[in-house]
Amino acid sequence: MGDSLSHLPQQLANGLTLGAVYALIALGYSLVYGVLRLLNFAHGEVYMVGAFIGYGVLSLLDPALAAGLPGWLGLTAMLLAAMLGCGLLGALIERLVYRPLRHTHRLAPLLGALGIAFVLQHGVLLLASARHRAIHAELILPAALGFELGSVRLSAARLLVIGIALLLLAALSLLVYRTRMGRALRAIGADPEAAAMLGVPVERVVSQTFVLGSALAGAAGVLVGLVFTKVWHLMGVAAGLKGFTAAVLGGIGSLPGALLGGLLLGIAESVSTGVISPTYSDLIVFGVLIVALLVRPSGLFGKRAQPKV
Amino acid sequence: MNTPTIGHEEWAVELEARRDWRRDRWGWLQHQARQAPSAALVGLPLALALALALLFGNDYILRVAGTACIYGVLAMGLTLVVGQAGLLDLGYVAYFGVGAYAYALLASPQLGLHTPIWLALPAAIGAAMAAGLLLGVPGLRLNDDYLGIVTLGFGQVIVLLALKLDRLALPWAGATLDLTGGPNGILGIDPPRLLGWAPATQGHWLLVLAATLLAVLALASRVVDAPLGQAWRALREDPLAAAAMGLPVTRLRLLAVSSGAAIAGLAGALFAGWQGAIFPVNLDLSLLLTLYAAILIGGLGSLPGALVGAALLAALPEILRDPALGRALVYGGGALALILWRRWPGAALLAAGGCGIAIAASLATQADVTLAGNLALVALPIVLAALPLVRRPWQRLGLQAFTLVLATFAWETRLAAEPGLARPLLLGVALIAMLIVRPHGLFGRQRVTVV
Amino acid sequence: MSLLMCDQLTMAFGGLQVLRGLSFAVEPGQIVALIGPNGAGKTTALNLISGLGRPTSGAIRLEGRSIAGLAPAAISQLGVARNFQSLRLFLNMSVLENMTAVGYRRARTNTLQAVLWTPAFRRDAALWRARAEELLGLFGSRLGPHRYDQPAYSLSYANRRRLEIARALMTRPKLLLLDEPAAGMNPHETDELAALIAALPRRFGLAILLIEHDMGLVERVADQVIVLDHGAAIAVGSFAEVTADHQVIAAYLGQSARAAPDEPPEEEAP
Repeated sequence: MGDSLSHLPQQLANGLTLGAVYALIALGYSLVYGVLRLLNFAHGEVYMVGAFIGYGVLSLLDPALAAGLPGWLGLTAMLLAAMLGCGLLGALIERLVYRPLRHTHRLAPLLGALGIAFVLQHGVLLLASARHRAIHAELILPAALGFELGSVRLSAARLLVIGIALLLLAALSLLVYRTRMGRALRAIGADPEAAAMLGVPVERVVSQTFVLGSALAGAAGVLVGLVFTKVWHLMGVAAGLKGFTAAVLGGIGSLPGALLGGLLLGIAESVSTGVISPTYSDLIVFGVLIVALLVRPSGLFGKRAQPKV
Repeated sequence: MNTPTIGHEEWAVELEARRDWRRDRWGWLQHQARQAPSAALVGLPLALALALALLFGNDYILRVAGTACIYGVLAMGLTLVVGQAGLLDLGYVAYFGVGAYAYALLASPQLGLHTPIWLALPAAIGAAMAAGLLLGVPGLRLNDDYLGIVTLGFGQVIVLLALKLDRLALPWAGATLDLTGGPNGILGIDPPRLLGWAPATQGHWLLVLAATLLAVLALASRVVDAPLGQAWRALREDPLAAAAMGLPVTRLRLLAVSSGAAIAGLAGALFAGWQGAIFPVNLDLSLLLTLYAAILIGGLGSLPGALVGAALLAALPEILRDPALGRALVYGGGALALILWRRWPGAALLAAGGCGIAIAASLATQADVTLAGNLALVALPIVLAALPLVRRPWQRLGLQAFTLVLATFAWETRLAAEPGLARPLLLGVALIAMLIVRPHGLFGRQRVTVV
Repeated sequence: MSLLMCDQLTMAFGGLQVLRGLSFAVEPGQIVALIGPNGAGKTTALNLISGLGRPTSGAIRLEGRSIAGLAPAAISQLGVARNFQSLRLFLNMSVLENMTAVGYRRARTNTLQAVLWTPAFRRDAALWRARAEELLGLFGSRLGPHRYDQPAYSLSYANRRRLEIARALMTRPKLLLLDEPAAGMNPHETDELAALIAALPRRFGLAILLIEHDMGLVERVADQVIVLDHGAAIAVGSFAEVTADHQVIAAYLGQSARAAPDEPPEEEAP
């Protein structure tokens, strides 16, 4: 025990990295929920696809990087490709599944999400035709890079993850709170019919929301691939649950809430891995989800909604 | 999501009326199909199929029939929870797992226990019910989506436990205990032995499984007709009104979840005994998806419908194993779907183009077309999404034709080559298509939703 | 002892005071009408009585027993039934099933007996069905046998209101809460409904608390009228008494309205 406590600062630092990634995933949930009141449970799979796209780009660039292409260019290419690909994927998911299901059975969207998750998992297996793939992150960032602060070591990859995550979050909040599209988005979230009647192009904005959220998930996938140097087709399941937990923790629909929830969850997971046992860290996260839903279903930042009779 | 659908229900009524007006053979067929299949209508063919399998089937056929029975029992339990009580339970497979593992632990060399069946089976069912209640109690306060997510997470937790409880630390004994065997599962599970008789052949097993199926069907259909079933449906339709009419909502939900869990636990125990082994892979998402597809095909809430769906979903993937049969199924099914959907040109194209491509593909199997096939697979959803954007008839037809060519190409080059991945992929697509095209199932009645 | 006693009920949603010290009583066998302009807190009061919310302060007593904050199901078991202004039928169930679904745990037999199909269960089921048919019969042929097996969603708006009232009666209430039962009905249908409501207390031994905008109906059936404005009762008495009250007229027509004591307040647009 004493030994594991001495690692606490390091675990906090690791938790920060995890938390940044969870926050990116949670944002996707929150964005879509805020606009459509829909829990896009296929979101974790989009993140998985993003990781695979990053992997694919890295393998393509492998010779170029070895020949001296700067690492940051490679990273930019990975991020851009993943964000574009996942954005497109998000738009497709919305168009092909969620839109037709929007006015049918009330259980349909979640079941549809389950179907999407399944299709994406096996589709990726089919396309990538191997179960686990190692990411050679050292091509982008030498493993030795990083800095140390006392006993805490933050590798460059982890720092980069935190930095990029914060950057994307800032860009997103600018988009949501400062632009025309953001205003349309919030209007639809408040009242879709009224927004439609006032000339907000609802379908287009909904598509854009999916593109945005999915692009963030794609970026998260690339970043995680860099830190954990491994991608596989089932990585989206746990990550999706954790992103959702983070979103609920912070109050689903709230953007600062998603950030805070992600960081809290990341740190909780990292610390519990160190202090209790790595075997059960996923169980602990799930426990957090249940407790959060029971104690404060509206989250830290969410508003409690009055049921209408 | 929360668009009030004023006039929605009038539309449904009109639709019913319009269908009844159709006096041609097609209308009659639709009318017949719309009537939820009665137990006799479904039970007789199923019983006949079972009898034929028992009389003439080889071990393989018997196995598939047995799987259909297990799916049937599971689907009936699920349709009680989801279709009757209206609770979105995505952790249903976990109860199956708890039942299977409980039975396996009590009757296998894993812990050296060989508990007699009359003790082990109720214990397995009880364990599954306990798991259901464990999840049901906190889940009670959550509504649709949240309940779905929490139960899905619970399902994952059970799989995780099955995977990780192979090195359970026992600090007081200073040792570790291998409870679940981890990814290697539990082997050598005893078959259920009652009064000195235990099923020894696949034929025996099919008898046991079919008898269980019948018993569950009888029990469940009585419950559905009983006041309890009515109260469940009232709860599904409007929990608030149900509560205001004095129905004990909490108790009804718990009853629904634990009944479903008990049935799943029973199926799990039988499955473990039948296979002689249980692995964490048995509890993966594909079983959950299969069951949901089964109850959707049969119409949510319908017990005979669940059986039909289960039989279809047990049989169809087996057909896909054989490339020739699979081809026939995919093209035939695709054409049929297009015909049902009144896309005659598409159907004709598929019939002609599919055959052509199939011949071409079988001639040119030597070339490496993996990359092209992958590209076709990626392009397919994009083209599908683009379809509604094209308005001009001839452009539309062209794009439809292109879509079909793309689909057949992807099928021939990639999916037919890897049936192990094609089956789950098709299952997922089928589930989504089912939700969109016929959310009330092949036989179910159109329902209205008040949003 | 009064059947229902509401004492100093207040209810606030966030900063919005919907009820501020509402007090009134309903005696056994009485029909009490709760009227007032939109937003006066009528439906909120009904919701609190039927358990769909807990009052911020104040007491609700049913036959002397406090029921404030009890679960809706518990209050229903104590003998309070209601309909819903927004109509909450079990839409995908048949008309008859909408009635009999209420029978779970009110019937004398349990699920085990139902599964075993015992004679006691069959007797019980027949009894419930007979009761459902009797109550549907209150509305004559409008909910006649030809409709029993129709899904509730196929009913017209007015018939849905009727079915909700019949369903509420299935629970054998001592107190029936009716929230705008005549909304969406034409004058002829409203007349018919008024006659039925007026007959209910004697026939089933219950009291009725009624919210209604149709003043003709209120005049015909109500023994006592309570006028609500801004969450408090501003007048209590017979229909003639409250419609002569200046405060009531002011509440309905605004402060500047001229007094017109003989004219009942106009119906609010629903």
